[in-house]
Amino acid sequence: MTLATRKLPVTELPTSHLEDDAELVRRARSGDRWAEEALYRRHVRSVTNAVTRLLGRTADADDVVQDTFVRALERLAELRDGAAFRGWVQRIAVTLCHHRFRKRKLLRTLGLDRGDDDASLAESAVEGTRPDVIATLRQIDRALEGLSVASRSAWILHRVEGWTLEETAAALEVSLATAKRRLSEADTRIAPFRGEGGAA
Amino acid sequence: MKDDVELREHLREPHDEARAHDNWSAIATRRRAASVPSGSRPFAWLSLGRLAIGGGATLAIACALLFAWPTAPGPLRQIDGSIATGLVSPESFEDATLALDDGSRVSLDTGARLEILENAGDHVRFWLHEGSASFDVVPGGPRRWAIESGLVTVEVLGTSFRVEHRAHEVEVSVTRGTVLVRGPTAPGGMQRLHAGDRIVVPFETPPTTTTAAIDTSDEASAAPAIHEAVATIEPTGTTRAPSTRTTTLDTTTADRAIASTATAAEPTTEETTASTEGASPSPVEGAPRDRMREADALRRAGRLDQAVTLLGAIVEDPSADDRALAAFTLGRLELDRRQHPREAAEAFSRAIELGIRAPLLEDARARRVQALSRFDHAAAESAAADYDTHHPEGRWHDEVHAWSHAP
Repeated sequence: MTLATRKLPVTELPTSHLEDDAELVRRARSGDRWAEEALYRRHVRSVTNAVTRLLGRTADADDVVQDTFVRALERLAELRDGAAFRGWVQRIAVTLCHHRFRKRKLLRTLGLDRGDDDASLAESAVEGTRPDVIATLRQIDRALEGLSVASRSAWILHRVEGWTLEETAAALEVSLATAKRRLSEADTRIAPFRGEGGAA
Repeated sequence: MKDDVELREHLREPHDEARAHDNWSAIATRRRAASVPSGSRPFAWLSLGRLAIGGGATLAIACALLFAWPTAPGPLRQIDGSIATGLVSPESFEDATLALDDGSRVSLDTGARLEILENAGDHVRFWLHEGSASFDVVPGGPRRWAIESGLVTVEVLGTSFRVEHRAHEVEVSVTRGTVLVRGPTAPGGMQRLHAGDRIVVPFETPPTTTTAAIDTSDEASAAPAIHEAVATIEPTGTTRAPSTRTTTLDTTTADRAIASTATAAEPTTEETTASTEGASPSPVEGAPRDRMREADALRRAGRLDQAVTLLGAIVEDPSADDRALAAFTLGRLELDRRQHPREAAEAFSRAIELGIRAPLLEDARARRVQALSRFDHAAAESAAADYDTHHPEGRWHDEVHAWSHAP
């Protein structure tokens, strides 16, 4: 039996570069479906990347991405400053990830967690990555597993996703000082695998 | 890898356009579904309740594990507390929706007929007789959901999808999560669909090839297919792996198949009538009837028990004119797939007795030797002698003698 799969190009919907988030939020609140999708298109990349890295599981991440935008779009009225949409949606996403961690922990305790960590750092290595680099990524994955959720999240959002410390702190709903402290805790644990001196 | 930038350079970006498209399709669908005021949605309070009990739930579960293993969940119930069972239609409910106590919902379109075949703590099985229905299955539940429609089985855990049973095909479209679509006419026998995917599976397999389109577009009816899978069905099913399906609903389908009347159908080159060498069906046997086609479809779907039951019914039906063919097919199934040599030998003998015509007659005599050799050496030798008498230069000569002399 042969099975051939052909992918046709996906048409990307236009995303306005002229409208800022505040304007898009205003239009979305008034029921403009195009504005809703434009908001999604503008921020889905950041949310998908962060959520996938945090959860390490593609299927879980897709659920959380969907939950995040469903929640955000349904609660737009609660957002006072439309220009703050990005930080707001990031905070929702990280909060939902933490809910998912709690659920996963409970399932693991009960022996019911059967998820597949298909999006860990090692699993996400680009094609052609040297084996020693993949081994390092695997060590980092293991080190991250040993961290608290808060420290792990801070490290991934800042070091891997490149979020600023301010964005990271806001998403984790902690002060900047707390975010730095958690990041430092994570750096200490992970530095040995990244070479002397730790992260930049 | 001291530098964060270097670290990122080693990693693939999780985001891609197809994924974003799929997620948006799912989001749009969920929001449409949620346009019902939240206050009127059943069990909306459950999420608040979950938050309220918070850590207490963990403690309660720990206590339950310590002192008494929790009882297995029972069958799904409707909102009024009755166990969901039997045949339902849109008229059965005020809003044409079967709302279940785990929060899952099944919305029936006009004309749909849905039967709840099995309802237990670990699985629930529906049969969509006709029409279309949308299933919104709450993720994380203890039950495996399966929806039968025609020859297609859709298996899910937590997801949202729609099944439409049409005259000659079944369409499955997924709005959230992942489903497995199994069926003899599905490409490869099984397809995994993700959010935004759509597949149309025909009931009938053309003699040589079949095509099914998987459409990931949101506007399924208007947009072109984004993925197209083409499966070539092998001329005989001898190398085809059976379905891994182990569910037990199958008696219903078999009953339905057995009950179906034998009406004339166009000739086919389905494997049912072919020998292991790919011999063509004997035209003298007459055109395969609906029941033979159904049996063949069941066999190809791995539902061997059902196929055997149906073939046995045909053999015992004095009014059927394809009894010999059914007996021969039954013999092959018992011998090659079920490893039941006694039943196989009996079936081959019955095929000969019922007058199966060449070239399958020679095959039947040879395969009877093969079956007998596995449990009755003397009978195998006798059957081999019978084969030699009728086919002194037969195609199976060497094999027959090897079988009859096997220790």
